[in-house]
Amino acid sequence: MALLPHLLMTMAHFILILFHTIPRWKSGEAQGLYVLFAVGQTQPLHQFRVSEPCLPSYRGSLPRTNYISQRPPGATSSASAACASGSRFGRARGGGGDMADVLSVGVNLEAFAQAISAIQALRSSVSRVFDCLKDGMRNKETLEGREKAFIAHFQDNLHSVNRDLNELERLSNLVGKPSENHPLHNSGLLSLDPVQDKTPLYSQLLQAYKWSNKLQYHAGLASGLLNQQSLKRSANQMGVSAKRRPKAQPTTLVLPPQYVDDVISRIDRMFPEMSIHLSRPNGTSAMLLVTLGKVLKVVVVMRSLFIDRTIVKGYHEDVYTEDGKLDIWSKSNYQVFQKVTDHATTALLHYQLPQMPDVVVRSFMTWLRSYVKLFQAPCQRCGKFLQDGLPPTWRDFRTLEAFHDTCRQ
Amino acid sequence: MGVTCVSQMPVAEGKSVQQTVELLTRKLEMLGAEKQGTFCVDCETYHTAASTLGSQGQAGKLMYVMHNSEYPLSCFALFENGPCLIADTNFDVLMVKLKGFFQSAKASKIETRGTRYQYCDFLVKVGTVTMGPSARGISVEVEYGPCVVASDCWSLLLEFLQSFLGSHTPGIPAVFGNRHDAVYGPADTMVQYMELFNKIRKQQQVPVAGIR
Repeated sequence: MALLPHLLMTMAHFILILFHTIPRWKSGEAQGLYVLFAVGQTQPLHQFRVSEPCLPSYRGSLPRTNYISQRPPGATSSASAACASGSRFGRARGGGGDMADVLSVGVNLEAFAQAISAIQALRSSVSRVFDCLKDGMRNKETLEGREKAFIAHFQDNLHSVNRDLNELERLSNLVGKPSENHPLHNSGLLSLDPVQDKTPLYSQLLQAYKWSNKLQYHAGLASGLLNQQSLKRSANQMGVSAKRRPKAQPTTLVLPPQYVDDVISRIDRMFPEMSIHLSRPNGTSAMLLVTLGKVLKVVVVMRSLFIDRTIVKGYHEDVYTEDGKLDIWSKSNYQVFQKVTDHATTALLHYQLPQMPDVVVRSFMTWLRSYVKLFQAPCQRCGKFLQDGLPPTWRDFRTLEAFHDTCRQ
Repeated sequence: MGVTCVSQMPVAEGKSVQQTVELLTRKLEMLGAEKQGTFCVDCETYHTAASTLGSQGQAGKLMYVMHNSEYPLSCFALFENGPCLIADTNFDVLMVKLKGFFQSAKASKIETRGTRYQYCDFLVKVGTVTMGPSARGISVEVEYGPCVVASDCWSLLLEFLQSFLGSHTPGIPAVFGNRHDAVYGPADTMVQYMELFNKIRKQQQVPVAGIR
């Protein structure tokens, strides 16, 4: 009976607040956080947030999450009531219906509320343990009785801690993990941010996510297409797909020799400082001996119009074997030309256009021509001629500028 | 055979020829150059014999017969500003036969000997120039193997020379400018050695104290 006046006071208090604020909600001035206190207590009973003129939906228990998705999309936001531990979960953007669905999948708010009160219980029982320790033994007649009472009290407290902990553990399994099923993980919580009305961060994020998904899809398609004409130009290297080899043979590999001759002689005429000598010592495959100014000689082994191998040697080095054939195996005696050979091999892999092999050969020769200034061009980055005893051996594939191997990036 | 630059390195102040050579080789080794045996270039001077001189009173031309350990089977015969003949080593025997026309100058043999170093595509030869029993100076030869046109790689050579000769880096050799765009040959190197030897011979006439 002693509780009755107390309860009445609380009711009166609550009604008082409603009475005061209803007219102001209508005028749109009553935005903010409302906290309901029971008289004589410092802990708030309830609190709710009002951001637009409408009545707060106050309920005795926590609102279920799916009530958010039930709301019409027109209502951009609403007041929500939540317990003292925070009101974040009761709020979502009106337009973000999909977001709310996602939330309702992973989060059991009922369990959340229980878990929170379990945490509170655990905290208070733990503080009781410390209180007991702090207070020490109570005064009793005998020392033995004192100790006994203290130990029993302490044991009780520890037991209650254990009980609360177990309860919390049980509840935590019920709560589930909200971010697990969420496509954007923790960033999904951004949509719960009240400031979000002003910053369109979340909608932009969704947009970006959609874009990146689309990009990934297109990249997958492109890589599938490109893999059909990969750098592995030799059928033997195809490994798994070797069974399909006869079908996969590109038509560009069976060009008539006359066409190859034409392409090469056109390139030969294009560059005056470059002379190309074509020979076919082993059947239809052409071999080129390219002499570039008085700088270097390049042996190029072709397969149809694909370049299979290049060896760069010095102008005064022998490119023929003892029996008078082009030497396509031995490398140059000079480090600088060994380096240029490596770079030329890189260029072979860089210039790839399976549909137009003649363009590839022409681009490669244009690139190769830039070596006419191999010993005369300083590095475009460090401005020096020598680095570790080597001149700038690298030529950029697009700009044809000279760089040291270590200076290019 | 690449482009070669032959120059003279002055003896460092207060040091002997031997010490300066050691200083230079140590610098090269620190640069990362590897020792690769020794080398030797020698030169003998011949006068045109008095009997063959015409009555016009023209001065006898000097002919230099040189050997280079880099080309062990060849012998080089040069006139000053004149043609360079590259012959087999038998040429020495022929010169004995030609005594009536060319006479060996007494005590004119000058040679440089030293160590050969390889650094990447560069070949560096640091030698002590001796005439008779005494050391007269230091020769430094740098060859850049991959290139065959002297004017193409002079700036590159210069940068390399500067890296270990410092302030004693020579100017562009006269043979580099003579034939633009021509392929550099062994004879061009021998001409440079001949010029270097002549320069050192002339220096010797001026009494220099404290070289040794």
